[in-house]
Amino acid sequence: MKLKKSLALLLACVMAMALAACSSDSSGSNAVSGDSATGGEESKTLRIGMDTEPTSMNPVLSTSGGGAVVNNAIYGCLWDITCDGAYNYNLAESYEYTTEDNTEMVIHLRDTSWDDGTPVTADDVLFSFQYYINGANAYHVMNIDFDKSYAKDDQTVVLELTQASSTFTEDLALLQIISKDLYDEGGDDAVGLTPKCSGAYTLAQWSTGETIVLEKNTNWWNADQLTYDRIEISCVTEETTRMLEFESGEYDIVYLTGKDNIEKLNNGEVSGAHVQYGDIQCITYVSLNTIDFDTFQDINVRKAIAYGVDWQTIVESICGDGYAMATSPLFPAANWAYKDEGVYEYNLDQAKQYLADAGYGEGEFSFTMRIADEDFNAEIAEAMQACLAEVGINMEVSVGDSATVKEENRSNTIQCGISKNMGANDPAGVINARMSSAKPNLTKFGDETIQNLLDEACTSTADQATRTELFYELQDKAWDYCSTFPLYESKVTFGAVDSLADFSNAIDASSGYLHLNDLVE
Amino acid sequence: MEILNIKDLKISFNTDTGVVEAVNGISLSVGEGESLGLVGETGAGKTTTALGILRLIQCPPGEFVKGEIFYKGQDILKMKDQELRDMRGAEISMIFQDPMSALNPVMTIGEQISEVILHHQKCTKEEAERQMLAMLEQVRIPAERAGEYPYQFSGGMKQRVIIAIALACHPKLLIADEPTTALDVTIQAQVLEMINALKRTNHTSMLLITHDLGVVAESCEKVAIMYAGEIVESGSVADIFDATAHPYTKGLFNSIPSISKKMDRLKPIEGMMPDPGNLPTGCKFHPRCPFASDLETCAAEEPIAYEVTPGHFVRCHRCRSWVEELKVERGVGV
Amino acid sequence: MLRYILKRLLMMIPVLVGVVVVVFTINYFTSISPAAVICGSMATDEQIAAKEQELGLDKPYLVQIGTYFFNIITKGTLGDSYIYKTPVLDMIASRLPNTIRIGLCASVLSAMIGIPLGILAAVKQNSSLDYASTFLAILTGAIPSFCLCLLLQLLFAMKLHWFPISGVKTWQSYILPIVSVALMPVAMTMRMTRSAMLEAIRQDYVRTARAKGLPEKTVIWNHTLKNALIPIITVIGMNIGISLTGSIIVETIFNIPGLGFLMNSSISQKDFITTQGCVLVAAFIMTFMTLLTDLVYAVVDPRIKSQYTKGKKAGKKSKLIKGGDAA
Repeated sequence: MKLKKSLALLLACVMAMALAACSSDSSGSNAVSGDSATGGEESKTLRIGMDTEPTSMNPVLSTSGGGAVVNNAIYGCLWDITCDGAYNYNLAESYEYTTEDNTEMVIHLRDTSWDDGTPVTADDVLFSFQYYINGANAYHVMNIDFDKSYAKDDQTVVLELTQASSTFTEDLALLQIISKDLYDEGGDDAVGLTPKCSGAYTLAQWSTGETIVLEKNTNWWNADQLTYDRIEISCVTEETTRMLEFESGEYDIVYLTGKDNIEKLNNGEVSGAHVQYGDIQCITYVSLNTIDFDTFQDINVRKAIAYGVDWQTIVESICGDGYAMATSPLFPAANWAYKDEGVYEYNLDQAKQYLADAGYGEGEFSFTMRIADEDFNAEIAEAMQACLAEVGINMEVSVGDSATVKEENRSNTIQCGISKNMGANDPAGVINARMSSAKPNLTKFGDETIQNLLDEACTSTADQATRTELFYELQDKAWDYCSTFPLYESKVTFGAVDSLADFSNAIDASSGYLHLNDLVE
Repeated sequence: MEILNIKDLKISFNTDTGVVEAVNGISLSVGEGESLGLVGETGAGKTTTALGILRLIQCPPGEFVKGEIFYKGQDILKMKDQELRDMRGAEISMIFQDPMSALNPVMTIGEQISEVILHHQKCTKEEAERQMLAMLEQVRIPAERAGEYPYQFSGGMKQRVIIAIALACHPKLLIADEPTTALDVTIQAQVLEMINALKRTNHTSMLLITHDLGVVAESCEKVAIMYAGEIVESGSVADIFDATAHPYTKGLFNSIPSISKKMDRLKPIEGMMPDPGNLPTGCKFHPRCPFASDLETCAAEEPIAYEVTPGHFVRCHRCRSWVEELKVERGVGV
Repeated sequence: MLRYILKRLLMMIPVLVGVVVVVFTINYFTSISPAAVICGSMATDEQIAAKEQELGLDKPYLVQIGTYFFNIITKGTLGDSYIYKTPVLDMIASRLPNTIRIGLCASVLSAMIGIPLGILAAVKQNSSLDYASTFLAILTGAIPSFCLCLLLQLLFAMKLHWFPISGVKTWQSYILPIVSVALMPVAMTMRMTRSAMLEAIRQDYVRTARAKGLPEKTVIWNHTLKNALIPIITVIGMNIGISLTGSIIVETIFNIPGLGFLMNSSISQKDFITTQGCVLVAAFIMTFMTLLTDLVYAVVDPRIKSQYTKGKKAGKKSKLIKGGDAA
């Protein structure tokens, strides 16, 4: 019948069209050439394999980690502060406090421009700070009085603060400068989708499912020092696929988390590649919720747990060589604030004594540990359970998926859990994060003295020495409080081709993301 | 000239439960322009014979154990596949029992008729269509309905379409397997009349399979009575109807209710048709035969087909003596 | 016939509404607030509360679901993604073509393999060919999806370098995903074809066709297959629907930005509005495919076609029957 013939013809046409459509928007060539990091006379390209796709190029509103890598590359900050306290100036050349009580700051900007040639001005800086109020990092700019702050001229910013903050410069270090003109033209969308770049690289191409291409920003003041002219970032969620691509030479650097893959590289099973470790200021720790639950009110109970578990052995045997034992209950961020408290000594008899002092006989005390099924959590929990059983404490372990446990944490229903300290490269930032009302009670201290000390340390305006003292005291008290048991300092892992030199300096210490402009050959 | 000549045909089916002997050595012949009525009860082996002629039986499990089927002198059982297919539809056609399911539901009737014309005559589509419309006229179906589908026709009309398909290529032999059984009596008459008319026009021979003796009387010149896979009596219509010899045939006639006579009860033949997988020894009819007095012979020996009068064959031991008497009368040696 | 199509299109609407209500209700009663997702993990409670008010998330259930439908009908928008802050419809529109390309090609490929295998198995029933093709079909159907994808990836992309490992850069990158998606329904298509053919081949009209002396090929094709098509079309229609809504596993392993991938990632990112949009689009595709399948039935089987057009044709028929033609 005619109808049937036309149906068959239609089907054939559809298939032909579909196949034609496949090829029409392709580049036509298979980009498998491997001469990026090693050869190439004119332009050097670096190819990176990441896991999550960026959701927006707007650094204020973006909440995904995937965008952080790109944002770091395309946006510039005023300055960057290293662990040792040194300042690497970027968009700013210098700053100074102009009043005794440190409530007025003048920032001198460098004479540099956006990727389209227009200059970066003081208006842009002021606008950016004000814009940050909209986002999650609002607390960084909370102290700025925007009515009184102004742009003295195109290169000079005068900031008035409502109160001095010893962490102010550290807060500013994290803020990426965005273009006021662009926002005036297109609002949030323009900034998110077609950004003007003040950083080392410009966003040349970004569309769904395609590689993100960054090109050297010739308008950046330090462009000559950049090794790579072009960076291609591919986002592949599935780690198996990502590893395969890396093995077949598609990437120079690949972000890895799977233990098998890391082992594979360490054993030399992939020729021409190795593992690149990066230190990140992240400690993983076990903590007890002393605020919502009465269970842990008695210090003796907490001490029983602290001394009844062999923390050192657990970390060494479960985590392996790449991970160092953490020795501070708060953070390792910033060398000047860090105090090495050591490890809780494993003493079974002492622990049993503490338990008896608390008034519990053998097997009478029990609580539940709720963990997410990630990293080493399950194994650590199991080991803890075994240790505590010897002390005479019943610990139940409940495992859930990351999202669910995160949510339970937020609603403060977890008695005991494993948490991570991440996100800020300044100690106050770390503490602020733990203090914030958004943070779960699991990570806070049920002791008022300690909470007050936290407040003081974060808002202290005193000099470095006094601040250091405060932080040390804080850590001592937290240590004695025995509600936080540090486990290990994490590392972030990448697979890298052998032609690349060690780039651990390019790995952001707080988040583990790559600072693309610091990558050298 | 004989169009069809079957010699001692034996067809069996090899099943898991044993061998089913469906057709046990039948012989018959149909001349040019002649009609032979093949009569018998359900299960006698009539349809198997008909299908066997066109080799439409699935082998396995079926098997042509022995015998020959000559069509115009050529043995069908030895024909190659291509010859066979050329023969089917063009030389020998078949009309099946159930018109409701014999037509393809997704093709129009016009297409189904043209299909056979196109295949055998290798003419153009227009020519085939012209012939198809002519056939439709012959079977008295309006030409506008050529584009309609089988489900839009009644049973009688469907059968007429099947007749049209069967006769489209003017075959020499038409095998009609109980063509009117599924139809009601008034339509039956119409269809039979149509078949006869077409037969006369085209000078077609016919093998009409039926269990209705009345139909045979109307349409056929020769008759063959089949029982348990064997032809027990065959001859002209006059022979069978007036000079009935075989006990089975007699029983058939006796069981027909009469319009003229007044009867209280019908007189059926006692017993049932034997299971083809388990046939009795000797004469297949002997367990039900009222005349099987000489049990030893009837149960032990299979009777051959005795020619009681020229052309009238009877497969019964009782006839042996008659034949001998006849031969003695005629002075012919045994 | 047109009336039937329109009626069926209208009937799609309650189905889609029902799907949206179910998904919306599930999302609504989970404990995670969309505002918390948008604001991120560092936000304070006050910020989240403000966001909730801004998005209208503090309004009662019926108002929220009503607003959602209202927005679809009047503004043609499915909302904005919590994470990407771009319209959900745009996100789906940019990803849907990839899924459809793979889905359509895979369905065609799977039918092209499954139907001939099924016909072969039916015609040569119980022969070695029958067993071999059944074995092959069930083998490909029994291998779990992710296993198959990884095998293909490792062999053809890694070892042999015939195709790229992942992504959608060139037309070659579509081949492995298409094969992965195609191989799974082959078993079902083949078995259905085989059984439908076996049933059709026993019918009287096939005997009639043979009695006509037609070549075996014509008997199989015109007479047997055409009548066996209804169940085959059902299976193929279902397969197309399933393939078009995106195979999550295939898209994740081959890193194809498609509908399935988006649905999966939006669930794990707690981006529920995108999930809702994806489910709505997927439901639309499935119901549309069901409609298409039913229409194809009408093309294939005239009896079904007459059922759809009942009422209209009855009038025409009575004019055709002339007097005297009682039978």
